Amino acid sequence: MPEGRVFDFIDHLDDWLEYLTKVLELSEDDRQTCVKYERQIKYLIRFRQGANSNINHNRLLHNYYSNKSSKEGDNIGSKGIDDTRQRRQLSKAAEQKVKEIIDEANQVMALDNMALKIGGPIQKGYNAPGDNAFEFIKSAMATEDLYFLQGPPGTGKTTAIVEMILQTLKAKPNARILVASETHVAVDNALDRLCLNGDESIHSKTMRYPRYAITEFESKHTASTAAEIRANEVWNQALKFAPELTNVLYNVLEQGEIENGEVKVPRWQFKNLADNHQIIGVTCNQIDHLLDQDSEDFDLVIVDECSKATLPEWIMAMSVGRKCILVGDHKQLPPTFCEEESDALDTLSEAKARLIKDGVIDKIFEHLPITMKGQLSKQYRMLPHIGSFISKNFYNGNLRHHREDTDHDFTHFGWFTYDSRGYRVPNEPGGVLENQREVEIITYSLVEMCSRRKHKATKSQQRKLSVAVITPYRAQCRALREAINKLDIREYLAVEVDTVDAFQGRQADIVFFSFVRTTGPATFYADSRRMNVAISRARDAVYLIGDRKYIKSKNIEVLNTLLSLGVVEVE
Amino acid sequence: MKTEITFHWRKRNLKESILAVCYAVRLGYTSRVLLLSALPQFSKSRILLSLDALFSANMADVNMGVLSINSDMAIVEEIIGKPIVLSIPVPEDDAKPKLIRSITINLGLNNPAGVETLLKATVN
Repeated sequence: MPEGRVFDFIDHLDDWLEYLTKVLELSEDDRQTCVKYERQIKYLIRFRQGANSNINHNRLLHNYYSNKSSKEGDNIGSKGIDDTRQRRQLSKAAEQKVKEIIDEANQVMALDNMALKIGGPIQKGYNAPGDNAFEFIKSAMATEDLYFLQGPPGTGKTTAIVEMILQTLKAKPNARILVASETHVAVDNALDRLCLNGDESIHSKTMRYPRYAITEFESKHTASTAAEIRANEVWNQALKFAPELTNVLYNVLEQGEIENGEVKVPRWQFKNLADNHQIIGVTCNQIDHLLDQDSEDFDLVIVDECSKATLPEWIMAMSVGRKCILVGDHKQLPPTFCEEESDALDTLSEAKARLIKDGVIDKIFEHLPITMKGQLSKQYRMLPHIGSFISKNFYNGNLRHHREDTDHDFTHFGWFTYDSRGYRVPNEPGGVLENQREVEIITYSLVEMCSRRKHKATKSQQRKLSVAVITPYRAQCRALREAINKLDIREYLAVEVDTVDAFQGRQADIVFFSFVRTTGPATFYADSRRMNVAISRARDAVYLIGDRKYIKSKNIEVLNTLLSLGVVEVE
Repeated sequence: MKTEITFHWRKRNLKESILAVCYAVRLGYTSRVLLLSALPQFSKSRILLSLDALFSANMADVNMGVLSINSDMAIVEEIIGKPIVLSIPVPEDDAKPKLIRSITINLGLNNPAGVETLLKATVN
């Protein structure tokens, strides 16, 4: 490393290119995966060359990667004064002429400006006292190029996304908007909520590529916005107007592959559909399926769960839009890396690999001027005793809580513990991470909960409670699923079992967290972001299941704070 | 000893919409409104770009508001992607354009320059 060398954002892009090239080498047998990495490399190179939609994105990221914003705000914007340049004194007439030219330019540019001044909220529910959400939406709308919206758990990120879409369309009815995310579910949820709050004109402008992953919708209009359905609709429409031509075209033009006896929609058709819709939902890695050099760029790109996306993923989305709003929470889980990806990371130096793994969103967020970032601070999910814990330990006490009570008895936040003396999990280094003792505690508690609900139901009607059983390890997940499937509790409890990483973005009334390990390292729990996600899934109650002695012996800050919670005493 | 010549679209992104416009016009959808109504599978911008490509290749014409497509397009549709095999040695690079032009003329195309505007030929 050359002495005095300062690493900047371009170096970080180069590290990514080096890493992606390595992954490409390692996954050469899997063509489908290779296509994904090749696409990421293509977009990263384009971005590095400045061949993206808005060059200000490159300037802003490059600057705020290395430098903290000045107190006054944006230190590279047009309002900043460059002291290094010597200015000649202008004559009065020249000054007047310059002013006229600038005014005229501003007038012309205002027609095409993405810095929008908005009025009141469009959705209901933004009038609650102490809720700063709409203030941040206002400032997100007022920025020209880039905005980061940090949304801690349950603070209404999806609602904010919908509000920003509705506000943009109100101010600019012809705006093209892209809603992207690393996961299908996040895109689906955002569009579903948009369909719920939007009217008929919004439904007809919206398209989800290629289809929805979720099967239960909040709005009855959502399902019909899937691109595959829209493709069928346009062929039927064509058939009605021009039957002979449509039959000829169907036979002559390239059609998609046949899968399970069904003809898939070809790529050219999706690109045309994307041109014809204003609001498009797609995962970051599939953006390229919808766009080519003849496509129109987007006026606004919203990237949901941006901290879960890798840098090439959110850069891909950013590259196709003039204005980009990144929505996420860098205090929750960073992107996950598969085996080949981890192998490729091992070939890089430790510092590079760590930066790639952890992502740079948090760093850029810290450095950005106050006008380009905001943190939603009122959470609507957790009861205050859980919310305060999350707020204090992960968000510097900045969160406020909306809910005060619930409609059932389970509001605990504490431990179900046991003495693991002689019971080792895993029983040898590298062994299976499955803890039957914790499985028993959880199943016993679920049965107990169910019988209490049943007893109550004899007196008054009781709703079904949702329960999330979360664990860091897949083996324990399987064991828990197997045991819970045997229980007769479905009438009163809807139980889902999954890993912490898979649960991000979801919620449940009650959370059980199974620590599993009774011996060996606790590196998995040491990441405070993982514990934040695990606990903050809960609306009303959290039960931590683990051997407190083992956990105490690890002396990890986040676990020590959890240990300060007591053992749950059920009446 | 043989030479294989294959024609490809220069604007691959527009190949479906160019073909669709040609078929639609031949079937009588010759005005702006009719064309847009008959081709809802395509975006307005891609239909416009396809028409641009056809006009600049002199393969489309408008007379009294009625659109027409040059009959050469029927041959274009036939030769696309299908290799033409000749029993001659592969020519040098500088002789290739001449060979391509003589093939387009011998195929009966009246507007060989227009065809070469729309299509790109590979000679192997």
